[in-house]
Amino acid sequence: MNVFSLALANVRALRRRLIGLVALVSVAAAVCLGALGIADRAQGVTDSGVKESSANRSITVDRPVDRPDTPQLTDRTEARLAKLPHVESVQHRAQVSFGVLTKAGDTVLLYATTYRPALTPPVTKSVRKDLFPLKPGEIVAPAASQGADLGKLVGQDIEIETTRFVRQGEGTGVTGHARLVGVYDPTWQLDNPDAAYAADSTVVRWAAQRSGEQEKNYLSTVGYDQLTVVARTAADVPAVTKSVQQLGYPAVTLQQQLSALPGVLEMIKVVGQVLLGVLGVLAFVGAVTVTGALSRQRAQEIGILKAVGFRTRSVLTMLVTEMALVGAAAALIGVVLGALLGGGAAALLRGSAELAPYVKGWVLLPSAATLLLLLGLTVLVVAIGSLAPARRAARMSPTDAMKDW
Amino acid sequence: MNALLRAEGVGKSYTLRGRRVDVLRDVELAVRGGEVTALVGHSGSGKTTLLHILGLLTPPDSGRVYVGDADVTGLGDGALADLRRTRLGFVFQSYNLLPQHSALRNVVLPFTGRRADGEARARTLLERVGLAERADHLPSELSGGEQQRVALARALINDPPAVLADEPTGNLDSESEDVLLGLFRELADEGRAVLLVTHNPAVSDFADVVHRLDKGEFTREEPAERKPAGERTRANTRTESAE
Ligand SMILES: Nc1ncnc2c1ncn2[C@@H]1O[C@H](COP(=O)(O)OP(=O)(O)OP(=O)(O)O)[C@@H](O)[C@H]1O
Ligand SMILES: [Mg+2]
Repeated sequence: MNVFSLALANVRALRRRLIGLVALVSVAAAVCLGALGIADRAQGVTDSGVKESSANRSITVDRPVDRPDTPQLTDRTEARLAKLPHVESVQHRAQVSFGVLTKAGDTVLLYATTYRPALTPPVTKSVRKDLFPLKPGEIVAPAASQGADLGKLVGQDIEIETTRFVRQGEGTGVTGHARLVGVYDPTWQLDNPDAAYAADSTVVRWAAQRSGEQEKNYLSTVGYDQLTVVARTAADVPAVTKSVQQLGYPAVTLQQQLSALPGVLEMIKVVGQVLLGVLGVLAFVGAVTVTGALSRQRAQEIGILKAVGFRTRSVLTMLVTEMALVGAAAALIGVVLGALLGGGAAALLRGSAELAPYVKGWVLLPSAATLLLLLGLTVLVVAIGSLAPARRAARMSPTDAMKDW
Repeated sequence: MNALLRAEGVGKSYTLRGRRVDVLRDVELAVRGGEVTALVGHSGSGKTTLLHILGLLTPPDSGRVYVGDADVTGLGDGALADLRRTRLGFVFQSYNLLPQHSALRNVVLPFTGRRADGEARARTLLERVGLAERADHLPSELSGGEQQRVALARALINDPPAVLADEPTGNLDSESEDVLLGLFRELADEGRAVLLVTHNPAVSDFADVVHRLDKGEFTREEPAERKPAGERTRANTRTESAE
């Protein structure tokens, strides 16, 4: 009889005694897969966000604040950078702080920031379907900031306070109105955590007022806070970065900033990776123990096999194949449990507005490649774990094996 | 004469707590096809040890074992396993079968050809031993005698020229014993060599040739009603020494 079909028949017949090992390995695999699945999905959401936008082709240049030797980011700078080779476009943004006066009498300090048309924030609540482009006087704020729930103000004209220049280092508050048309997920930390997105003209008006510069001159004298240089292709990014830096501007690629995950998800990812190690150890130790115990109990069975003409190698193959099958079954059960567990955990995480955009969908499993790798590794680890005790059992002389009657 | 299994000057000893025990010394034995050969002797005289040596399960310390004309001395583990599978069939006193598998699967176990061929042959053999209806039963669902007959069917799956059995009727009532002995007789009549180790006078009476292993004596007897009294072989068993 073929050793593989014998191994399969043995596993089926001995399933009651193998259930402990299967349970152990499959639960470990499930928790591990659940965690990795969530982390993988979140990373996927982030990465596809980067790809869909021009973020993977973008280089940001911030206004030199503490470096008087570097030139300002004026509209001339913008034109100059736009003429560099391999540059598709340059987007500018200005930023200025302002306060939102809440009904309770508190002031929430936010930064009015020009939004990037190609990389708008993840809006969680808004007054209209296509929120962007924003009209002058409209702002999109984080859903929560400094303890204030701004989400409930969506659709309202809110009272704000901007600053007017008095003299160097001194300003006076000016109250006014803006319309809060939407809020975004506050874990979006591409810009300042308290960024309130607004149309360019709105931001420039408030910024000019604050600097004491005339609004029409502001862009040529003070200039923008940040320029985003978009390269033609992702492959052009290094070359463009270099030429921007050669002009004396500090340049950072946007992708580096974007790929980071929220802390909880980073932690889940680490937990998944740690569990992968735990799973390996469990599977190995489990296989050693179970193979050892089972082959002692089955000594006489092994004796019969050898007496009727099974070679040592065939018996070894049979025992190791049995454990490999157990490992495969455990890994497959683990995948199913892992999908359930990941789905359940994701449902819990969706309860948090901050994490919801990262854990969409019900079946959260890592990629097919990761799954196959895990399956293969489980089978391999279990088989390797069973090797030493199986060899000891298979090498017994048939007479000795049958002695322990 | 067509000896299908032969021991030539076989010796075996064990060392237990510093004491050397010679279980077999210079044993000569030929098991011929067409005959039922019985190996008798008191408990501890070395019958099982000799059967295991002839069955290629244990190597002798000295002497030679022949399967047909081939000397098996020096053959590797794998080659010995192949000989056991193709040239020998075994029936042990008890625990012959894998408890987790059906009678049919136990019978197919040593068969290496196509699965369908093996199963067809196993069914034929189960029918021959009168257990066609029990093919799908587990050993625990069979009586002791039925289990022994399943083991006999398994011993025949590769159509071996020799069948060895260690106390095959040890746990059976006389009715089951008769059935099993009838089957062994059929095998001998087909030209196979049948070697039975037994305590049971009924079994040795039934044999064509009887060898007695006893303290200091190894005798060959041939029951009077079948053949004239045979020659004696040299005394050569079980002496203890404190070497
Ligand atoms: N592996 C072993 N190690 C040490 N001594 C052994 C071993 N196997 C057998 N013996 C000894 O060899 C002697 C013969 O044993 P064997 O099993 O061949 O006897 P037997 O004639 O089959 O007895 P029984 O009729 O009780 O089955 C016994 O004294 C036994 O203790
Ligand atoms: Mg015995």
